Amino acid sequence: MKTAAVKRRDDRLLGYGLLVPVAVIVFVIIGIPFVNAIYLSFTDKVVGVTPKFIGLANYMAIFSDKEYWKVLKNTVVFTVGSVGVKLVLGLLLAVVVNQNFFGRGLLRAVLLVPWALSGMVSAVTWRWMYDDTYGIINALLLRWNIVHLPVAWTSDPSIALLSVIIVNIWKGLPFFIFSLLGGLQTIDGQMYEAATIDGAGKVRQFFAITIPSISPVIAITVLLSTIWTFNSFEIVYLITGGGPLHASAVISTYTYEVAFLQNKMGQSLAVAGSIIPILVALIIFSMRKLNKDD
Amino acid sequence: MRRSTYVKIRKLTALYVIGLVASVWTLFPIYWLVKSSLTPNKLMYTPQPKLIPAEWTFSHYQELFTKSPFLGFVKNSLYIALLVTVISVAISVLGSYSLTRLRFPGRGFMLKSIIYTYLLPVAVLFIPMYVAISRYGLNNNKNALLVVYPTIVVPYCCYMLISYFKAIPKELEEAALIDGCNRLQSLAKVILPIASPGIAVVSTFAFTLSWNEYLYALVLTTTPAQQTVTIGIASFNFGDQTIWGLLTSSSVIASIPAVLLYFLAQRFLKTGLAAGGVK
Amino acid sequence: MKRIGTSLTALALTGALLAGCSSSGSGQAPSAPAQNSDAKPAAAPSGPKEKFVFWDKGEYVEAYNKMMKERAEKFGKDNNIDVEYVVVSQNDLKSKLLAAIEAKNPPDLIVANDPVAKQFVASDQLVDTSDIINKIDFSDGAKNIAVTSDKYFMVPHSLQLSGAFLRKDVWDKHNLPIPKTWDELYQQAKIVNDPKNGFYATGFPLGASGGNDAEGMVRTVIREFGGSIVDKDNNITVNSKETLEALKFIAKFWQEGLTPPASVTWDDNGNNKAYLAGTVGFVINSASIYDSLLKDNPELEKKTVMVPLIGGPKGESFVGSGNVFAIFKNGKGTKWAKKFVTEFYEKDFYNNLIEQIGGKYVPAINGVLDTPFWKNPNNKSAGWLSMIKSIKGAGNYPGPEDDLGSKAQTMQLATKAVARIVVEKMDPQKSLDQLEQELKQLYGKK
Repeated sequence: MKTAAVKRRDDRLLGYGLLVPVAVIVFVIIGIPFVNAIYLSFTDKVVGVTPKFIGLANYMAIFSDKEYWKVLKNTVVFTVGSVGVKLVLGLLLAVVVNQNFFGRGLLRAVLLVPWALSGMVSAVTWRWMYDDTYGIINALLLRWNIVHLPVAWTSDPSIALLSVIIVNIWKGLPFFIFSLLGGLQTIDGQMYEAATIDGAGKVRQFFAITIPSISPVIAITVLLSTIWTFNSFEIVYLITGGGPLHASAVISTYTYEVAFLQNKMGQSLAVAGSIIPILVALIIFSMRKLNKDD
Repeated sequence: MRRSTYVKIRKLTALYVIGLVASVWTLFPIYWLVKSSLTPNKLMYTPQPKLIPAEWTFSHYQELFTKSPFLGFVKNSLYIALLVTVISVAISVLGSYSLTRLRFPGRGFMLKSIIYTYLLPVAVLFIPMYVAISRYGLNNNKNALLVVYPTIVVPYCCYMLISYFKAIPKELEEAALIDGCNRLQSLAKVILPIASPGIAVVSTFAFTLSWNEYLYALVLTTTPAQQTVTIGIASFNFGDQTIWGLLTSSSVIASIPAVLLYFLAQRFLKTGLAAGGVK
Repeated sequence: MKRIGTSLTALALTGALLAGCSSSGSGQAPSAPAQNSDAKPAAAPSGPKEKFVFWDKGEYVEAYNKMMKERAEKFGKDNNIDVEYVVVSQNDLKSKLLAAIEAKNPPDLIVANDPVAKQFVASDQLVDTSDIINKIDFSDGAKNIAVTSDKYFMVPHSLQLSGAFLRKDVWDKHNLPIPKTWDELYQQAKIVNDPKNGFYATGFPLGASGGNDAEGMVRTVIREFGGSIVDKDNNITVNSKETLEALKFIAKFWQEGLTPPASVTWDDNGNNKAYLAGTVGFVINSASIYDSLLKDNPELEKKTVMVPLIGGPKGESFVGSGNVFAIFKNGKGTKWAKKFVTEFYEKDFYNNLIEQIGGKYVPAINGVLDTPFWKNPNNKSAGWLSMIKSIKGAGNYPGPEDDLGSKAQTMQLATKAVARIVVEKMDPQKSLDQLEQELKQLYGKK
């Protein structure tokens, strides 16, 4: 019989051992370029030229640029809007495809497809559909007399951001549905049986059993999706190019502009680096939620 | 009894209505893509486009498979995505188990470090990453993607798996440990079977993450023999011209494996709770 | 069932251990490069051959890449070297190049649009090409696109003119002549415009993503109204009555609904698509629309005429743009790149190449425009040749071609000035003031 102390030591060794491959990926393969990129954000880096350390100058430059703040605000709206809607619809649809009914398999397949498409293809397809003269959406809206003038989906500054949010929801919804479904499927059916015997209704069961059981999954799905959405590039860049006049620009497209159009690699890394504190705060917050039940 | 039938019908109706609305919303852009892949070039762009084109053609698909190196791209992508998925899921299962069930100093630090790797987007990381990779002589070699893709796949896998593992009651594993299983045995016999639907989902998404990756593939591979499907699709874009027929038909083909994989994964790992400790 | 599950897991675990080792190995162990060279033992017997790496532009007309590949391979055989000929989509060339440059691993030779290549002059990546320029009889228009700050670091591959495409059938229906000036176009646009039926007189892009279409047009109008962005000594001269008039004039096309609203965010693809869809009557573009029409829509091609760009109150002021060769200093086969480029303009091959592309590229060398191809009355792209003699300089004309000039263009500062008037309804003078400020900041002037 092993003593408790020996068991604890064994667990510790095993704990480290199992993490070695992950640690290599995190600290070596991505860690080195990551640290390098952060360092370069404090330099005047231009591609092909040796960088010179310039302290906080890049950060000062972007914080004093009012376009940066406009873009940051857009990014927050874009992220909160997309993730919020994806969570609500994702939860609803995950519950739906977790029920038993004829055609469930087909519905699951259908719902997965947007995720299976590459971002570039989704973006160019939507851009085409959005156009006001040769796009199908306006053609149908006009034909059905829902609108009398084509909607300027991508060029009206008050609609453009919404238009890219819609595409982001379309593309990212499967991630929510299927991650949450995976969580729902691990719930022990006996818990519902017991609750039913106790006389709890479906709605109460949903909030008393379903949500708490999958709350770690919800937290992590939201966290991952928030980070991805915050950094997502293709949809905005390929549909509106961030336009008109930065009305739909987000941090990642702005990063691209600074790096590749203005040719300031260091400053562009500072733009990307400047949002790290926001994301870190978010991570710490969700971790606390995640570890609460430990 | 009457009442319960009524409730059942009401529930089914609600399910079908929601399912229908969701399908239309999801499929409409897909329909447009598939429709375009079957539309002859001369009808590709039209003013006031119609839902159903006047003519259909399979010529784009024919051209795709006979005249372009698309099949080679598919082969490379399958090789990369499948290997990356297996490697990443396996690594992540072990790592996540360690992070959820074992206690050791540095655990919290590791947990956070994994997700911090996502803080910088690939759009700014690809240049430093390329520099690092080419130092090892792996540029223009598809195997470089086997090294790089786990960096985008593993954090996702770890986090999702952690959340699924957490949902499994500790008592189940404790019972197995008392029965004389060691940690790895209990992982294999208790945790994995219960989490298998989750693992199926994670594997599918891990696969699509590497299957659809573009920027790393663009800079790390150069010759067609090394390149992947996303590069193949993008190559139908030329400055201000696009070969829509090929772009759309190749995208349709490229979306099939992920959907197929999801179904296979579901079928293989359907056992779920039934296979777990609860009898 | 349970057993299958267990053995599957066991398999996964074994896989995990193996995989863990191999992935950490290739990440850090020095054995990785060795493995890689094992994979390519091609030139083992006679010692390693020299290598020439060439990233060419991907071209919509397949014949181009086919001919170039054959030529590159033949070049390799003749010189007993390995040739890596790769087609890189123009949209992605920049990301790929930047990564390769940063790793000191660039290709020896590229073909790119001239503004893309120009950016690498400032970071000192390109080889001086004056010797090649002197050896070959390039036209003056072509030399314009290869020059930066009075030096040659590029070689003109071919010119790509930007002209006008006009729907002759629509203009005929209204008995209108082909417009010669911007004002004529504007007056006619009001007549042919029919947005209720989804037809707009013009299709002008104003988007911020990619390409030169928008900035090129705005700058042309500014010049043709007598304005300029900077003068030849890089003094910022943008804030003038002429530029103001030009900005106000361009904005009218959106303010009066003469161009589709979506065009405010179109990229370079937008006007091509709208013209091919038949929803706009007049666009300014390279001849890429022509070869799409020839290939996919002969009926619309018949209704189309290609006419030279139109002039303004101060006449015509066209600038050249096109494709250039650029040779990278840090490439390992630089001398082969130079040799390949020098031999590239061999008359039969070059003429044939240009003809295969169907008129989208115009020769960069003198004395090759009297071939039957360009004399053929059915070759509509010949309608643009008259523009060549009016080419005054490159994109930043009358300013010098330098790093700041090309930055101002890629940042699309002039386009944004128009967009502010159109989208934010900003007062034109205020928008112009802002443009001047932005230019001063870029040029580091007070």
